[in-house]
Amino acid sequence: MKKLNMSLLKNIKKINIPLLIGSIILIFIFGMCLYPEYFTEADPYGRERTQYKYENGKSILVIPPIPPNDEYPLGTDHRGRDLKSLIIYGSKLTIFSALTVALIRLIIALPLSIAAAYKVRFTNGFINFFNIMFSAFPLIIAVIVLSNIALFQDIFKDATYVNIFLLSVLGWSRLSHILRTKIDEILMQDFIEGEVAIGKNKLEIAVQNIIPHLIPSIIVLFFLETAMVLLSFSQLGVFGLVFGSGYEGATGEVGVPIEFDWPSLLSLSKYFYRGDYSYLSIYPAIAFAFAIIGFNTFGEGLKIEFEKENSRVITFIRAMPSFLSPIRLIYEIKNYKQYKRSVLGKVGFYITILLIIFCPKYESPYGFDENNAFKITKELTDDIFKGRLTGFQDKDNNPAQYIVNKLKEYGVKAYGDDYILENTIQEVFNIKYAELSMIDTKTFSEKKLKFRQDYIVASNFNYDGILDAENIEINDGIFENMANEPDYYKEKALIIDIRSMTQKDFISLNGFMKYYVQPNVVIFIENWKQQEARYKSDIINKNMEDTVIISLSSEAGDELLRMGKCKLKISVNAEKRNDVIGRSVVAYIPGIDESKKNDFVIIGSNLDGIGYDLDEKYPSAGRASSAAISLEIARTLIQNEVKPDRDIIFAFWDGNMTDDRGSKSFFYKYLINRNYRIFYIDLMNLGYKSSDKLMIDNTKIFPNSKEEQDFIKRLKKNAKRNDFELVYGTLYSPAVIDFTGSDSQPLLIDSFISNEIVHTPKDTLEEIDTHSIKQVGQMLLDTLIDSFSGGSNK
Amino acid sequence: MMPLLKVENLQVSFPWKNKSVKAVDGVSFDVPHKKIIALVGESGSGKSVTALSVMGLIAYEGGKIEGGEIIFDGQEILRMKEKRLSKIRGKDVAMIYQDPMASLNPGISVGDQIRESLLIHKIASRKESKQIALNLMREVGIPDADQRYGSLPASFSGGMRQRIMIAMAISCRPKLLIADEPTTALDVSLQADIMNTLQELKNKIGMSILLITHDLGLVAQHADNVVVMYCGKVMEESPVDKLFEEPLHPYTIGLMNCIPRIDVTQDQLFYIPGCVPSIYDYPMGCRFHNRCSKVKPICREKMPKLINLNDDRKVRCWLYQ
Repeated sequence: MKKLNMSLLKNIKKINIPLLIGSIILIFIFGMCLYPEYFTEADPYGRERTQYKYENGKSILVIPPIPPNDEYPLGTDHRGRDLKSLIIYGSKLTIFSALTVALIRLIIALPLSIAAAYKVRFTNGFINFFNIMFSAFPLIIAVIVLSNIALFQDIFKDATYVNIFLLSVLGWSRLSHILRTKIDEILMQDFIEGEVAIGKNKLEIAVQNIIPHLIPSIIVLFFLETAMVLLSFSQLGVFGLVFGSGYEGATGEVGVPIEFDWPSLLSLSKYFYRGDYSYLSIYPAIAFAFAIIGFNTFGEGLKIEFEKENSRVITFIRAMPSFLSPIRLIYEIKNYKQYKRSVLGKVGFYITILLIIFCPKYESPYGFDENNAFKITKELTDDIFKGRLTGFQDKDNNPAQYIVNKLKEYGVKAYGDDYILENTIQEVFNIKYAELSMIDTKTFSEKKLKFRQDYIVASNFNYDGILDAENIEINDGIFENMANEPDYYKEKALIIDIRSMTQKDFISLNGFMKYYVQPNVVIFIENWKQQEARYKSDIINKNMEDTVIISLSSEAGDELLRMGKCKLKISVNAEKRNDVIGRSVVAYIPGIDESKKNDFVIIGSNLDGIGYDLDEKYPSAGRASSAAISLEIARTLIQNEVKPDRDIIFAFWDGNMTDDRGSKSFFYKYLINRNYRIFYIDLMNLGYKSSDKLMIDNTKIFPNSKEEQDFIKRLKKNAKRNDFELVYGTLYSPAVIDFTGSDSQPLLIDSFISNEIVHTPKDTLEEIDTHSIKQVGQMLLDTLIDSFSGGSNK
Repeated sequence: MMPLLKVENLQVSFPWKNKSVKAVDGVSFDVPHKKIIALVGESGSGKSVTALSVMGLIAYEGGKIEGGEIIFDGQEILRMKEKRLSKIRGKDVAMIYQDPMASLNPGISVGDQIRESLLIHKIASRKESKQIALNLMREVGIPDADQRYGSLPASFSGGMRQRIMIAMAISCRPKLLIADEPTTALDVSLQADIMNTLQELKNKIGMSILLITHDLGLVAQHADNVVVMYCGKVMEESPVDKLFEEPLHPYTIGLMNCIPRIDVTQDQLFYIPGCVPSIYDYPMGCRFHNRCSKVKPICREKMPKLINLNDDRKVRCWLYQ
């Protein structure tokens, strides 16, 4: 027994414990970075909402942040996001940023250290200067101050890159000092003189002799430096520095969620470091500590290993080039009898690598017919449907009837009594005529602006008159003036340049005008150019009743401002139709699992077009394409006799640009107060050939809704299979208002595409192609089958 | 004919405390073409410092050239810029060090180290240089050159490492090879081997060798001329046969007497009485005077000059002045 213990102790002493512990920690961390979905089921984008929940027979109001509980072991943040998944998903950006900073610091420090060791002029002084500067002046303060300089933001665009750049170029000097000492030791070795004796110059000695001998030290320093960088990150986080950035919404929506990183989690600590919410600081801090310990321990372990004379690790590393050498393999194959085992091992290794790289592409057994979807898109964007404007369709020849015919053809059942769900829409309008002219009060010259080129009308209020132009700027006195003299402003055409206005100021001003002034005419100068007429309903605030709202292009706006004092001749004639009928189409494929009879998947798309100008071409091809994709999915499911476990509803909404939405009507007729569990998927604008990414918004899905989060994971997997990328963002779709609730969670899918196409007259069939339709359609089809029918039955 | 190497009044010092001490003090000698010149003397006599000065490497040892001239193949070495000097080192003048293990790069294979000179001086392309390196390894007697090409220096014996050093040194067919105690760290059996190899190569390539050694046996067998150094100065310079036949300087006589003779019965081995003076405190006058059996009063007061006796012998001694 004693002998066994001694032997065990001997063996334990041989083990490099720091290296072992460090390796385990780093494997865990890198696993988390690369495959976060295996470490947590919750999705970091999903959010808990302020809502009532029933617990133990009581109704409790739940407001994020939610402290740790059974549902969320680490709690949620103030946005309702699961903290555990934030930490896990945030590891990638944090760790890889730290590795990048450490690497760049080494790249800067190494040549400077070599130059200093060779006593190149000024190098030593330069290194010492940086050392002294950032010993006396805290690096983190310098980074925080400099990261706010607009120049860096303009150059790098992304906060991540700004921070990486600053931390790298300001923090390398300590490394340089360490490397310099090691280089001096190498230069003292006898063989260096031998290298000089054969005629090598300093550069050759540096590259061929110094650097190879430095490699073990560089590797060790890399890991130790990464730990130092992570420590700096944690400090920066406490000071409020954020790493992550986000993406713009695909259709002009500017909703930019912050990407996940550990420093930004700590940036909330100043608000939440006490009491019940201290966990919001503690858990990210623990994550940092864990990573720092991992990198430090691994680095120290490597150092011990490199200093060993007969290190197995070093022997293994040294053997790698020979192992991987194809020349060596050929030699061994030629002498197969002698090297049989080695040949078999190496050939096996190479075959495995080749299989991974050249793995045959996945082919779905459910072929999505993109040509059929494209044909439907083409038919929906035909002129006969007049841009699919709600309330302006022929009774017999309209897009709703077209969709119904297709559904019947495919054998998809109607949801409810009929395919068509009619609802009354209080008012729709079409701008039949508009005129806007600028009259110079000095010269009385008149400049007429072109409707739909220089400006568009975003209201349905008829008007005819000439008003003085009044330029409104946000300053300290404006609100007071408006409150004191509302009539003065009411009688003016208010010119508001919103190009450099913040969202907050815009909303404040609009609200104030609506409440105090109720102006006759408001003209917004915006950031669009001529020839780029856009549908502005979501940007322009329509809350002001009885006000003509005009959106002016950038060029026309500048011309107006240059004119200074002038009058504006405004005439708008809106054709209004009241109590028109909206026609949404709803069909479904029934589910076969009785236990899921109260669970629904609803795939929604917009049947109607956009725009208030009947005479303007807004084919809305992206929306039509989304409806076509939805139809084609329905057809494929029926054709392949796929049996979903729950009802899958295909809804084609009409009137969703108005308050009397088709989706709202459907919700109130069929779903309200029935305790159904609904997963709503909104297809917004899809199929664009210029879009190689899709944006999804799952911020309204609860982090721990397993089925929905699994759907998103499968969506990502199928997106990869179809060769495109999913990005996250904040999107807006009117239907989502109706499907956001305690038992109803929406997922929005949109193309990641330039604002110059979507919702403009350029949004035509020419922007759509079958390849893009195929990518999106196949992805959605496969994901639906994987998620709701137990996978492929083929 | 102009000698290949002419060292004239070389003075080399090293910093010590706030002063400097001269390790080489006015050394002059020539190395003719295709000859082996032996530089002999005890440890600390300044032999290696002289060799390093010829290579332009004295600064790496912390030394400084205080004066003199070194003319190699018609070019003044001491005032040459480093860039120009690096073109000569390894190509026209090469060096073999006493301890090959310390001088070989432990992290690079021997084959690659041999071809380094060829690549640096663009003697051959990458592909050709490998073949040349293999040939050199065979030439210097390294067995299984193909197998051992990729081996690290640590896997070789002392003798083999020295051969590798030789291969490295001769790779560019230098005009002058400086061999600094090339056999001191080796067994006697290997010493002859190495020296024979050097001799053969010298004949084959036509290079000159500056052999630095304290082994008079080697000198007798291989050198053409001998330069005897003591305390940083040349004491005697002579063709080898004349030196052994009739050494002139008392120090040289003492060195000769120190060689054990098989044909002479001795109760006790001969030794030169006294110690080599400290470099920091050389005596006035002749630096050998406090160990010399033939010392005269003038020896204690004045340093004798190195004078020519006949055309081919020089000696620094008051006995001959």
